[in-house]
Amino acid sequence: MIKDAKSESDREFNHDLSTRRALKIIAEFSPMISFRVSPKGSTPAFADSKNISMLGVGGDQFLQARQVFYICWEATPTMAVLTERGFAVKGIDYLFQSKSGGEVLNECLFARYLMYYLYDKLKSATMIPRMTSLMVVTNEEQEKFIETFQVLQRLFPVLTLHHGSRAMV
Amino acid sequence: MMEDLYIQVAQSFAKRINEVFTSEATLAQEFEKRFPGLTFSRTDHWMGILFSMMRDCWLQHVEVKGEVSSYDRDQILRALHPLLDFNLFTQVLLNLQSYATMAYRTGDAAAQLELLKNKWEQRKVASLSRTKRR
Repeated sequence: MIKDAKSESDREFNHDLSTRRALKIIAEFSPMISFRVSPKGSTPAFADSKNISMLGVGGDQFLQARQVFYICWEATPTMAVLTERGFAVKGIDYLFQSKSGGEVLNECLFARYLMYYLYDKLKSATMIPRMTSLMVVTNEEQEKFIETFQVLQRLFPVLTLHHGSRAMV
Repeated sequence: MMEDLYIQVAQSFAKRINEVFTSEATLAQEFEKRFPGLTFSRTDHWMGILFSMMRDCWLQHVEVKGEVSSYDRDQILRALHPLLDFNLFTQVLLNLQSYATMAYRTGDAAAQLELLKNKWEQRKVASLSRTKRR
């Protein structure tokens, strides 16, 4: 990947690289996916037996679903606050330990918080949290989903919503 | 009432989740119980392990022993939601939610890979020939 891709060619290269990675993961896809578990207080991770959690923008064009939304963010709101004994998280009654300074912990917990919130609000949805995005496959009416998203967006203004697939190149 | 049953199963399931997710050792213990002889993994087989845990709780509460249907599973998950924190609940949900509503088109994956490979190879060749001409 080219960091800080500014030219059109660099962005195209990054997009094609993401597509290439996605194609390799997609070829292995099946609905029998096992997601990594983490004990209480350990840093969770975006990981699963089929690497579906690792799919980037390049995979969007190959997804088949009645309706899909991507909730995205660039700067992750603070979920985990460092205390003397570990990272404290609102709504969780145990502390977390992190070897990476809390960055991954924060990222994972934010994506999971969104997932937990939406599960409560939507009648049916299949969700996959990833680094800086949450994929939501749902039969919910588009307007109803957007209303729910807007409530979330008021809580976290960094959130953006993409319908169908995320913008490319 | 079926709703009461789902709540009871969810309560038992939440208790088990809290026990099993206490530490790496308790996760490993549950893994060993379900897959004796296999090397412990925090990534593989947890869909099956968590489903078996839910099924055990279900069988504790139902009068007529029967399997958990996908509808039952969804209702138990709904009842489980307020009983677990968002870190634990989402780990369970990721492993037990249905993925039948989505699929990836894999048919043309090989052709697409080949197209991408050719595209960048051709550009590389074009770029090299431009450099040579200079």
